[in-house]
Amino acid sequence: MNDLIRHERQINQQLARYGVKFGIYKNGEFHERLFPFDPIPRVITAEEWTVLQQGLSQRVRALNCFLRDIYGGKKILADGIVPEDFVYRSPGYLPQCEGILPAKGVYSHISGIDLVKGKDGTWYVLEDNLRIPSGASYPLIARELCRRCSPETFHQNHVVDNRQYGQLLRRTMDSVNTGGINVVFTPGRYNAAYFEHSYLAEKAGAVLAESSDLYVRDSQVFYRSIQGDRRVGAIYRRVSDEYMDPLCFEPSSLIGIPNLMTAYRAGNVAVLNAFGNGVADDKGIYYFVPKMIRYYLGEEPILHNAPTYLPIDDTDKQYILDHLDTLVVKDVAEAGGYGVVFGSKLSREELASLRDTILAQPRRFIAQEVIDFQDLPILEEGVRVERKADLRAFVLSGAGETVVWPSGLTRFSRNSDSFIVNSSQGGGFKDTWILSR
Amino acid sequence: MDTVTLSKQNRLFWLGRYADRVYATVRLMIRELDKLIDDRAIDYAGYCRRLGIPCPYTSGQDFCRRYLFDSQDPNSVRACVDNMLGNGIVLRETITSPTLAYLQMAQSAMDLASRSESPAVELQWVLDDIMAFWGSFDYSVDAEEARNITKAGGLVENLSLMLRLGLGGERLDLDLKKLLNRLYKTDLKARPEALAVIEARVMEQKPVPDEELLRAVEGLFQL
Amino acid sequence: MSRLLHFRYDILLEFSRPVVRHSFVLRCLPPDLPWQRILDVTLALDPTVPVALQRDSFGNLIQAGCIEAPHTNFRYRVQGTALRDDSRRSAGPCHPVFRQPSAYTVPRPEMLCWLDGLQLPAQPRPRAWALAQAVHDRLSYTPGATGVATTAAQAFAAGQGVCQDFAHVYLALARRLGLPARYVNGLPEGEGASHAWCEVWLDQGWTGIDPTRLQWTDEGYLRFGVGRDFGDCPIERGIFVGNADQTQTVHMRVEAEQESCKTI
Repeated sequence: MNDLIRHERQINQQLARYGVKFGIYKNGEFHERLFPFDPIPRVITAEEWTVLQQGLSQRVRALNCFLRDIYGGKKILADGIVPEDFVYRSPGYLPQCEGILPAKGVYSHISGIDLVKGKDGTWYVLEDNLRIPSGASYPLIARELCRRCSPETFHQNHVVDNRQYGQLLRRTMDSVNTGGINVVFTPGRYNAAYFEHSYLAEKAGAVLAESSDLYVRDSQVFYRSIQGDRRVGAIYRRVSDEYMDPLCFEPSSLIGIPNLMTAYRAGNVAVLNAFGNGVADDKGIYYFVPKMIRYYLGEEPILHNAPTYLPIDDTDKQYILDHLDTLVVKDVAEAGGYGVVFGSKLSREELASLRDTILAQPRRFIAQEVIDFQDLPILEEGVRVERKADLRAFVLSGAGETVVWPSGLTRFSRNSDSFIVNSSQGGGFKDTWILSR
Repeated sequence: MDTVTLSKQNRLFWLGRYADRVYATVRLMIRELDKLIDDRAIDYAGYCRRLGIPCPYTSGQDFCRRYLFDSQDPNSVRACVDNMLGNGIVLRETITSPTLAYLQMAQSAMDLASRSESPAVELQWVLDDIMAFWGSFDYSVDAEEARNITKAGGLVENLSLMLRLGLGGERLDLDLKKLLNRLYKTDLKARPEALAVIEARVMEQKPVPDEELLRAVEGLFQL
Repeated sequence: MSRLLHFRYDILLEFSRPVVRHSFVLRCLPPDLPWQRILDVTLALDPTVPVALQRDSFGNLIQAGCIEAPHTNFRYRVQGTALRDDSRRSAGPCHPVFRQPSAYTVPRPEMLCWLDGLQLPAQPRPRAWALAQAVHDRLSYTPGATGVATTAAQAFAAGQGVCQDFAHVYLALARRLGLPARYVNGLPEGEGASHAWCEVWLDQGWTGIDPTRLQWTDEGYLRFGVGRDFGDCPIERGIFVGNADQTQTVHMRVEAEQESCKTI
């Protein structure tokens, strides 16, 4: 591993060569930045991974059951496991999707589950991302380049190869494809994750398409090609629900595919991930995921949630108000590290104002204990320092199988006092090693 | 992937044009940089006039600096490199990541050259990267359709530069012939009147004034 | 008592310049329901293009298609006969979404204040009616003062609007009072433009109420689409490529044929 560290510069040069970038908007302008890479990998042992893998697969299977139930029979509501209000007040719940069963019944094909490891060695799930989780391309290309820069490291350590992600993605798309080509649908060149969209399209052998490349005729999706139009059987879309069809969702959207919903409703195209998944990765619904696992699978949850409190519950509300200065409060509608407030960082006035906001809009927030998680070492100007880090694991669900990618995106915060590891907030990433023995 | 959209067709064409524009202009500029060593005069005003671009430059030195490296100048070589890479980035899954990497490297070499005291050394890397790009492009792009479009773009650019700068000679007729060959192989729609001018010159060896030929070359494709 | 309705609905969209790739979704056909039997109906489009017929998640009939070629007009005409019979309305489930605020119907504090000041009966049916009276009195019917994007809160603040705004304000407040309610598009008996009203869930079933005209809907009302608010069920929604202004001319006519009801 020391050899890998010695090659830090070389690895970052290679990443630059391959244009491994993400975009951010600053003062209304689009900038592209290299995603800083730290050479010290996160290492997960084989035994640890076995448990994680089972827990992640279990969690995603239950979440897929939940989505099928919510847009179908709604048994979990009738049985009182999840309160109705939590579903129907969630901004991610889309009544336009009621009664629509996606191709092969799969809703969340590519799930990004964010975890942290506590000081006691326990893994906690912090968040489920079932809409358009991004980030798989970075560790994918980083591994390829690290192996080139330091073959010795990979010769000596038994690291499970993670470079099959493209094939996994393709297998997932093929398994739900309704007949036609696979496309990766991107909002365009100036999206933060454009590198990833184009890289994954290449690796999965899919066509990268933008709005003007696709159209709907007779409830089928077609791709405008110079050799004649081609039918589209699966769309791995990297555009949010509300922009996907201006005739069904946000009318002003110019990056969508008009009448896509008619093709989807008729079962003529698979959309990865399905529309309306936001209802299941809502920060409020998160609280109920362990209950879902018991309810749908009849199993005990393998992975833990971070201890979470809901302001709509009277006991929880009192606890939150009593401990606001030590809890982390999350706005359920926000993503990307935004809308996260640490009580310990607030002044007395700010705490009072947060308290009022929570009381006024209890449904909008959840509160969690701040987990004392293990820091990971990173290199800063050649010196090892400890930083907060999380792990986004990718779980791929096709027709009849759920596969956990033996890798993941480890993100770290570059500020010593920050708990937020999101790339849009200036963090970096590491390779994630799963040891084969 | 064997599927080329209409929007990709346009990008593929311009990728070829910019790659060859960068290649040709960098070669020219290496020669101009050499002139600076002996304080020889550079006819930058004439160069700009022939290319039909504005001439904000104040001296040969200034021209060599800004025409090469000023990314704010939309006509600079640097801007062409950015456009070349920009078209490449949106074609990754068609041209493949290894091919795209050469364009990225050409841009990095331009950066190095702009900071270097001996820019011609670094500029040689730009040329190498573009040659490697073309090699990798030929090797990795399986769709003949896509290859033809980009190659046609490169030929149009070369012909256009030759005609504007009066660098024609035998090479001109050779490239015109190549362009026609590409055209017969692709689905690119050519304007009949432009095509007729080029065919008259190549097939029937009719004398065509350079300006008319230039208009035909530039107007050949409807993209 | 039932009523046989002959209806015609004619819409002309005109564009100031030719437009292309014009995709549309129409909800201009009345659904066939136990209390609204559709005996015959035709839909004619000009230009003629293939149309996909589907039901959306609210159960509305939709007609979706795309006009690729340049055009400056889009006209669609509906004509048919319906048998309206409110005695055949039956109990049915209410989707919980109709209890929640929606994009157009989020109540603002001043609306809630006003609502608190109303003396409303406790029983659901009189309560629903009293609210319609209050909304009808609070808003004045003023065409042109609001647009299709106006929310309940904006219309309430302005104190005026058209049927869409009356319906939105009513929905926002009814749901707040715990009365599930939904938006309805359709044609009332008579001649002119299309109309919007509401349905409230009373005694385990949906009952039509029209806050604009202040009446329970009768058998002269022909229902098209329903939804949480206007955004879920517009009669026409389209998107096209082209820099053109759009004008819309609507004409509808619903006539009752009283004597034929006895035979059915």
